[in-house]
Amino acid sequence: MRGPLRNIAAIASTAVLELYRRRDVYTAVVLAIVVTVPLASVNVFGVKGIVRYLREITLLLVWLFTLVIGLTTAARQIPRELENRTIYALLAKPLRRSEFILGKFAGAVAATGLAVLLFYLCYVVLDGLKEGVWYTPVLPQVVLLHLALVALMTALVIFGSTFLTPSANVTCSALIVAGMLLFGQKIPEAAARAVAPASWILWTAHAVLPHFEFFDLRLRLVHGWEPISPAVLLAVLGYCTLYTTALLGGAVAIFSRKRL
Amino acid sequence: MKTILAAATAWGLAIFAGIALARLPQLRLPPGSRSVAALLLGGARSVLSDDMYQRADLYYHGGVAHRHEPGGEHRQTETPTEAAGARGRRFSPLSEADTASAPHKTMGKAAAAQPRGYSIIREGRRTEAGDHEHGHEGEETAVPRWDLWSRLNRRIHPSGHRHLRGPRYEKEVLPWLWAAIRCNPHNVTAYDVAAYWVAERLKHPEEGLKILAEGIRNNPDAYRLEFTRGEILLHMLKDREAAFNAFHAAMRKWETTYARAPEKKKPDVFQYGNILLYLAVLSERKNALEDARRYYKAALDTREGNARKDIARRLAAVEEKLGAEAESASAPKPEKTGG
Repeated sequence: MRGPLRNIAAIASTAVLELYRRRDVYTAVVLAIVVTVPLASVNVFGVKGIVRYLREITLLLVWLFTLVIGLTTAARQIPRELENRTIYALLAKPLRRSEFILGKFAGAVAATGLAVLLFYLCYVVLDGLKEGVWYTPVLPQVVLLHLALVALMTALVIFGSTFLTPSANVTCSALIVAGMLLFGQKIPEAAARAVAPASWILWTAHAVLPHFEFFDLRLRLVHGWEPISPAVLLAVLGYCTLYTTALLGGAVAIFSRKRL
Repeated sequence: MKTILAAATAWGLAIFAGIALARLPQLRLPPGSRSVAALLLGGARSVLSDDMYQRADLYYHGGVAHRHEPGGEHRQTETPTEAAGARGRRFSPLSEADTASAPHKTMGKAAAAQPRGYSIIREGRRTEAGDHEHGHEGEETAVPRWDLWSRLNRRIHPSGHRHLRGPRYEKEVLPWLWAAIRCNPHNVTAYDVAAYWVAERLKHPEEGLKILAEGIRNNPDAYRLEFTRGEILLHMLKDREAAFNAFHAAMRKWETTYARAPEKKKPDVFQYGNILLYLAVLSERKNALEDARRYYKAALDTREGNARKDIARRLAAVEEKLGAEAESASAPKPEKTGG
């Protein structure tokens, strides 16, 4: 492995280890199980084989836990190094600031991504046991785009942590992520109805803010809609790559100029 | 390892607790006491119940919120409520009589054409095609060409119109109806639609009757639930006597409801007419012609136009039969002459 890549991998591995040492993921899995298993055993008018409500609630929990774990993991990366003053020891080594940022990003994405895969494994087991169907064509797309969302969200938080306090960073990032997931699709409609300057603000938000709702294919999975076309999938992944690169570029630019 | 063991223990405990709690009779609340939902949610449970009910509608449309456009292509059977209302053709008050004579058929159609019942084009499709989810994507409203994000969103999130078809899929709306009932046991519509859905769509009439029994217990004045009970008994279980009693109870409850609250501006006259028509037809089948005449006469005031004409024709037929009976009863019997 070449120097920069080795540096990035070394930084990233610490983030992964830290997450699994803290056991947040296990707690989330246990909590999800405690919620979904009794729900799965509810007797709905004596009719058997009802699955969609369970899919919806399970996926909601998967998304909720992913967002919490992803946001907190990413938000802790740089401030913790500054607090513990370990960043000075790290930067004293042949490690560039850009490598440090990319390593932290890769570590947070890998840690949250593994949690996502674990959650989806639980989902597949629960759905399979309840319905007897272990694979649906849209599932790989759902997981892939969920991982892409994790990458974009982590980049946003890493970017924020270069100039915001940790609590402000988590709050702002959570607002953006949740806001766009819930209302991202409706902004143009609201902008069209609003009058200036509100409409300008809304159109700007629509153009600039990261569209996290692009990555949410839960509806297709829950209700058995067809998978999205490969062209659309590529477009969304391209959007994610461009946005993530821009955010990380911004983070590196700010962090490189920062006086430590 | 410890964590995995803890997770497994928690899982096991959750399953055990769920099953145990559901079976403990001590934990069932006595009739008349406030339910857990009532204690926790208070007045909000009504709002929550309505929300759950809306969710059932959303599920019926494959998770996509559908705008109802009057006169649009998808005018028929749009929501579970309307689908329940679509009983108009299959469950018309006079469908019992449909097989008996031709004039009744037109009355049945007229009854079906009234507000509660849409025509059932989709019902036919369902029978032909079996289990499937009818519909298509891509019913889109205009999006500006330059708005790439909205265009991408349209291709990512399903926006088409479809309905659940067949028992395999239609049962998916039930958890939300169940939740609507559990949140608010006074949500009569949720009971009504849930019972219809289970009995008629999923072909479990006994289960549907159980839902209605619970609904009637919680809402003793709800004439609609008695009416639906009568329909299930009559059309699915073929129990005319029990159905007659249910329709009779529905009639009494309807009359009590509107007699007790005369300030109600819009009494559900159409439903009252349906109840009376069922009673009339069942009385006619029992050869209780006087009763049938009484019910038809009362039903006459609940309909207009062709439906009214049909009832009048039916009434005339009953009166004719009554006249013939009276004539034969009053005619002197020919004396037997000894040989």
